[in-house]
Amino acid sequence: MIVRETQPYSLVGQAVALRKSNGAPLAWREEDGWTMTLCARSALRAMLLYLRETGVLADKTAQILTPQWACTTLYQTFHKLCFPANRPNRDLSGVMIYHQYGFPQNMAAISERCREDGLFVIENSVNCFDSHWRNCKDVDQDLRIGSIFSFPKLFPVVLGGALQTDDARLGQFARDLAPGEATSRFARFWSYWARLLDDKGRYSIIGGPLVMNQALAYAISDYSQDMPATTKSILTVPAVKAWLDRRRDNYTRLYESLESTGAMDHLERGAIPYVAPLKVPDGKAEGIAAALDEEGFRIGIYHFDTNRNVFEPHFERMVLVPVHAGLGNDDMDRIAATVRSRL
Amino acid sequence: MAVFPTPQPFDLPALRFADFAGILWSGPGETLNPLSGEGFFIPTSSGKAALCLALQDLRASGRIPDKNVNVMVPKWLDYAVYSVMHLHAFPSQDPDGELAAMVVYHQYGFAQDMDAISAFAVERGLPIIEDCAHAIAGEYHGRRLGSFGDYAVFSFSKFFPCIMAGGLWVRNADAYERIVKAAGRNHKPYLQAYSLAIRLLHDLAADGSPGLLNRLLETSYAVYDRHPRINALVVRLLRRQLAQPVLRMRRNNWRVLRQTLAGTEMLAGLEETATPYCVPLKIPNHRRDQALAAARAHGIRTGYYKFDEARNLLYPDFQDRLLVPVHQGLDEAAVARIGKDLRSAVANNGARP
Repeated sequence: MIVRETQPYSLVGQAVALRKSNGAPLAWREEDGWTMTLCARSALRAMLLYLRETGVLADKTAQILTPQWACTTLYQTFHKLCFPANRPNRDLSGVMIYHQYGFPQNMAAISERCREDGLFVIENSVNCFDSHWRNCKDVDQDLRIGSIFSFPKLFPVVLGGALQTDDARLGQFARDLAPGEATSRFARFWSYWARLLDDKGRYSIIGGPLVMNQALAYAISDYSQDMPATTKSILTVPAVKAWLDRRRDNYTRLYESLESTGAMDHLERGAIPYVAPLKVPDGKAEGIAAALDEEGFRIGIYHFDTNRNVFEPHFERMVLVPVHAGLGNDDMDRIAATVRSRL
Repeated sequence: MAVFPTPQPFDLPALRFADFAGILWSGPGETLNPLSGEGFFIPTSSGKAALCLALQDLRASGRIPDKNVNVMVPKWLDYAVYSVMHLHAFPSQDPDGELAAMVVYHQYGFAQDMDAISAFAVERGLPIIEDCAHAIAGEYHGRRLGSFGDYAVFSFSKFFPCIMAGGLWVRNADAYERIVKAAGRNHKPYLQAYSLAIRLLHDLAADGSPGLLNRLLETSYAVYDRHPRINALVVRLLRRQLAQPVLRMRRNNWRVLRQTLAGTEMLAGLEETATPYCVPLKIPNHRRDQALAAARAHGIRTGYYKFDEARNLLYPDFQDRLLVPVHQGLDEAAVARIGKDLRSAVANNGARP
């Protein structure tokens, strides 16, 4: 079986969730400023629409500093309503900070720079389960417009995102966009099934067309705001807590196993990340990624900003390893042993 | 029927039986290369695919090291154009930043200030991709648009009703070889079939209520880079269109409009040597509504769009202009009537009454 970066789900579990909610409350509450959406980009679109309507973004040429190495579909959502830049310049209106893989950016430095330059902050929390900015005492809370979340990256759901904001008008604005017009419902339907088919069939003989099908759907998924009912009934308080605890345990176990190697020296102990980016000596990354792949852990090598600052990023190539709640102690030990064997 | 200021719509009257017959029985026909005589030409499924191939080649040749590297682009392009660029580079509006290339866009067929832009490119050692999607013909200081840069992107379907077709002109023979190979590797026929079907349905319904088709069209944009090769049937259709006096009719309509609006400020800065995609007319602020109403009274689906009056990608001056069509779907008399009514709507040569 191939283990990817996201926690797998079963079709039976999704079907049960579709038929019946267990009655437990959703883990994120509207009264705390949370609005559930179809995906993170739906939440981003709602925020950008709001900024356009309120005149904060004058028109679609208004620029927002965005992180490098993000998914092209994220930039696509920006381009529909404004213009993403990936280098600081004097025409910026705001900045998106991205807590890559769940590890927080240097928010104090970013907050200071944004206050000096008069920039708003959009928090990209797609690899997080809560807002780092909101929980940070060293930042100007007024700078943050809102935060976007992506639950399939952390939990066993097909699709689902959220917007968290302390601006009640923005929250209401986002809720008023759902469920939207017929084309939005179409986008939701297609996005959901495209994602599910890709998740389940990517490594089958029809994997190529399924990936393409998802690419087609992703082009319009941000037009839909409504979170699928199955996702709502899965993301309950007790379930989310259990999954996050397991994820934390997995990460801690990995951290302790690899601590002596230095591969995780750049990472915080006690985090609950999306994945763990391992910093390995030059020339070792490919071998480690291949060895992990042979063991069934298929993620790969990606760029991680070790400076944790969107204004002055320093990207280094890292080997990503999973820590999701679908893995147990044996899996984490196997990952650690594989990495150690190739270091 | 509505008249669109931008491309002539792929409407049923435009696709006559003869055109369908042409798909099946056309001969070799006209050359597709708008810049025949120099360089190399690769027909592509769309202008966006051509742009992708050019950027991909700059990646392959090491001029663009990775997809975060900035490429200078004009403001106000359609989001789908920027989106396809992100596969290979990062679009930027900042001429003072670190750049790896430039995309120069001859908006509506009117040339950019190529003297200033070329000097900048030479000074910084930047390759130029000319976006000639609106400039299939036309020149700047006597030289054909598209021939200034290293690559030129064309979009035939904006001028000829042929569903979707584009092209990439390349100056360098090695680049040409690389691109032909890359186009073959990337091509997925089933995605092309999807895009062609959606485009055809969308354009046929353009006069109706295409909400869902608009969304479907957006989905197809996401895979334009995956089917870069032009469709064989589209080539036949295009060859037949190229054999028609389409561009001559367009230039003639542009001449008639100029004559009708002569002496007004509405044509300010627009060169007569262009073969416009559409004509961006300068309307005084206090006559905007009247001019728009006059255009719409002729069934023209138009509005005010940004036009770079400075004609300089590096330091643009975007102002609102009213777009008016001059395509081959209009005859001289129709263009003259449109011009006359616009002239009346903008009374007193644009002066405040």
